[in-house]
Amino acid sequence: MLWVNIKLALASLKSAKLRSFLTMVAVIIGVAAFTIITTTVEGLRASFAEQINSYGGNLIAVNSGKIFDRDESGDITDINFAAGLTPTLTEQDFLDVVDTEGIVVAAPMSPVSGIVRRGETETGSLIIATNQNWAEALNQKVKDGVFLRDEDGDKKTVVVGADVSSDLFGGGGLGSTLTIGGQSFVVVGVLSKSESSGLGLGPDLNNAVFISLESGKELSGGSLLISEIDAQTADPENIQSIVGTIEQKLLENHSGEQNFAVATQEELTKVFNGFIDILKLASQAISYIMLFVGGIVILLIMLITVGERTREIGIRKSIGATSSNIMTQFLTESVVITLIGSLIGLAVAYLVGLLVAAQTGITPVYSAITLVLIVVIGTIIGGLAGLYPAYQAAKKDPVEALRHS
Amino acid sequence: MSVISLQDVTKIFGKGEASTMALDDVSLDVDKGEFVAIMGPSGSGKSTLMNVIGLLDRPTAGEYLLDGEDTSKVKGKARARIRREKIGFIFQSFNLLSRISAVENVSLPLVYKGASHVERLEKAAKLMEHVGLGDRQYYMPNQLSGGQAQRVAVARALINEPSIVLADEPTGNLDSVASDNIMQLLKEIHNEGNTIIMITHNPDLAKQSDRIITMVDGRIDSDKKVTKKPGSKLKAKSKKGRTK
Ligand SMILES: Nc1ncnc2c1ncn2[C@@H]1O[C@H](COP(=O)(O)OP(=O)(O)OP(=O)(O)O)[C@@H](O)[C@H]1O
Ligand SMILES: [Mg+2]
Repeated sequence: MLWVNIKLALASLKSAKLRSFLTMVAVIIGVAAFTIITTTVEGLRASFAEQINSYGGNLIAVNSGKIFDRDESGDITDINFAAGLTPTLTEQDFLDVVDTEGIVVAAPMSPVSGIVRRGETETGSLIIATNQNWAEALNQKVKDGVFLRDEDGDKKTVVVGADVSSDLFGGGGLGSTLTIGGQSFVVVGVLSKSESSGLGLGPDLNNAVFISLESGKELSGGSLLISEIDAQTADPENIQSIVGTIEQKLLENHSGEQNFAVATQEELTKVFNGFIDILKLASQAISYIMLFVGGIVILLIMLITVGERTREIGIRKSIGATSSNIMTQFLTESVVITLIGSLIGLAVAYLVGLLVAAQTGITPVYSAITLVLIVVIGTIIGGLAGLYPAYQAAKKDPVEALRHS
Repeated sequence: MSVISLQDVTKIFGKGEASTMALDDVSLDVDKGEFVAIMGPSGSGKSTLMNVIGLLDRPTAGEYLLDGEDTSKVKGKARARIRREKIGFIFQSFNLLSRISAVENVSLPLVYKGASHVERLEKAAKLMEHVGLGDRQYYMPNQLSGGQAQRVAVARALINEPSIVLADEPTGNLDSVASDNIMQLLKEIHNEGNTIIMITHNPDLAKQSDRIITMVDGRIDSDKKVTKKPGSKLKAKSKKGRTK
């Protein structure tokens, strides 16, 4: 019976191809939007996971701003990335982190404003002032040369990210000079390509240049605020208590005002996942509106279809169809049309996903759950939209229906 | 016992000024195996009577017993089931579904009975043979002539082996050759012991039945047995006693 109904539904779709397509358009767009959003956001999550894993599992990150809170049990709540936009950390904070027991290496990061140039060529690179331990603290590899050395403090040296190296020097560049904020710097190190492509939290390390804190201070006229401190511990067992100690010390430095946040790599992942979940829900909401419109369109077209097929309904009833047989027939048709629309939407999303990947580097992630969800959503929309038209069909009086031309 | 027994059946369409009394106190008994022809002018209530008998419509007042069962108590699903199992309809305008093939049209009632795909097609194919359209099974309705389409409709009406066949002007849209063909089929069905009620405007066809009922203004104007002896005139109006 179900199969008969599905075949009937397909036959009626085929008999009015253009109309069927128009009926589906809104569903196609809605499902495509839903799929693109979901798989792209999941792709973002995956690329962040990759990035944060590249920092090594023993990372402790101190961020500016109260980007999250902790509840009594120490779990992260109230995530607010906007709070992290202005640097609030100081050199004293950095020294205290370094001094904390269990910390083996730590590096600050200070954003410096200025333009990076080589001859006429400009790059939009970030300028980060840090110390010589940065590469180790963030588990990054130096391809050529060294990361900054202590003794280079006043010698105006720079380490360039992989993309800066290829943009300005066609790869390599060790020993060349470039200007930052009008001052000349010698390239002493080139970084390997980092997983940190700037899609997740934090800067795009591949498009950044690194200078010493001293140089940074000079470029920015004396004082520097630190946006982030990254440290590695050798004692992963006690990582949470180390985080606690750092929090206590920094709280004293900041006179009790918690305008910073300390987290482990694992917690950062959680924080980001929480953020991704919100992002996903918010952006999916847009596609839900489209899907709702899709449902309404299907409802209206199904009503017209039922009107046009009044005589058919009369014939079916005269040969023994029950009202519920008729109801099922039109419901099936509505669900089938929505599901086909959903599958087309999925195909559209797949193609758009390829474009998105080529443009942004975010590879969409298609999880089984997403695919199942799309089928479920398609069925529910089709079912709900078909309900009223199918009811109208089922309750038709057979004699009246047979008189219909 | 009568298969069909109507007592003072009235059917009114619409309300107030605009209302029409399509059936006005109709009482009628039809025995099992009878072939009844219904005649009468347009608008006299023939189709309405047939729709009531076929459980497509409900009377406004009066009693209708089908196989001794009071049909006013039969609702929804059960009505559809009786239509499916006991009654086969044939209409003037064939009423085939245009989007499915001839054989699928014939097998449609079996779908609602829940028969399997194989059973449906086997039975439908057999009936297509029976009505002489074995080679036209996969034609679409619009590829069939009127006579062929009506034969498909007859096959469809027969697929559930109904005991009652209701034909509302089955030859109304057909030429004389095709009409004779359909009439032949109906007589065969009748000879197998089924009850047939046929509305027709054609006196020659009506004469081939057992009994001719003439309706005027929603009432039964005359009800005559047909004498089968060739050349003999129609008998006088027969008073049928109610058997219930
Ligand atoms: N659904 C309806 N609503 C209103 N009036 C109706 C309806 N069905 C039938 N009628 C009226 O009831 C009367 C009987 O109609 P019916 O169709 O039974 O006539 P008929 O004898 O079959 O005529 P014909 O030979 O033209 O088919 C007519 O006056 C018709 O207009
Ligand atoms: Mg009529």
